[in-house]
Amino acid sequence: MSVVKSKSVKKVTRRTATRRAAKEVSLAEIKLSARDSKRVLADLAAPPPPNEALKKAAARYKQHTAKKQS
Amino acid sequence: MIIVPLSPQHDRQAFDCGEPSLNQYLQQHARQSAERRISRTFVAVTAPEAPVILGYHTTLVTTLEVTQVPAKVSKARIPALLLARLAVGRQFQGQGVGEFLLLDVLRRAVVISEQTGLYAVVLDALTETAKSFYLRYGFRELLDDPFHLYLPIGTIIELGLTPS
Repeated sequence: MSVVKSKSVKKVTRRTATRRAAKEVSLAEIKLSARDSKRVLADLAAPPPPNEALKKAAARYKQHTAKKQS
Repeated sequence: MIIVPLSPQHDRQAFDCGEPSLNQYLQQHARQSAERRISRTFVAVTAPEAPVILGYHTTLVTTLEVTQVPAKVSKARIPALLLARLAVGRQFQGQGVGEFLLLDVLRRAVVISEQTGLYAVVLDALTETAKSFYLRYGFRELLDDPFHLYLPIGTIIELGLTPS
């Protein structure tokens, strides 16, 4: 009996792990509509320049990481 | 502030960003996912040995399935980096921790793109507040799913983030 119980517990654990993994993996598939596909492909072919907020954030990031390294 | 991989020394249970699902992910799933190599979680801390987590980000590889127009080749997959989670502890919010974590993700995306194909950083914003945070930095919305945001790798490369 104890052997059967042990096997059963192992099975549940594996199933739970698989379910969790599946939940994570499901995040990894993003299907785009036709008009979003067009938009994304156009952006990837000709990426927009970074905006001012992103440029400033990058400058702050570089300054901070440079300080840490010195 | 530095960004290091999540490890057992970090006090995950004390972390509270105000959003239960993001707290729970860090406390219960982040390390398991990293061990299974599904995703990677990095934490912002004040020093290498510091146990207090200021904030964290989790990323994994994803694909964008595009429908070609016209549909000669009906579908194609574009590799991208999915920013699955980004959160900052309540007491550290408004101090630039989120921005620092985001820039760390973008720098990592550049590093990955130098080794293999990667076209964008994508994410699914949890709330309107989160969405406006990313829009401020130029993330673009999908028209049919406005909480899905993306930033092309070409835009990120222009920032000249030095790999470290």
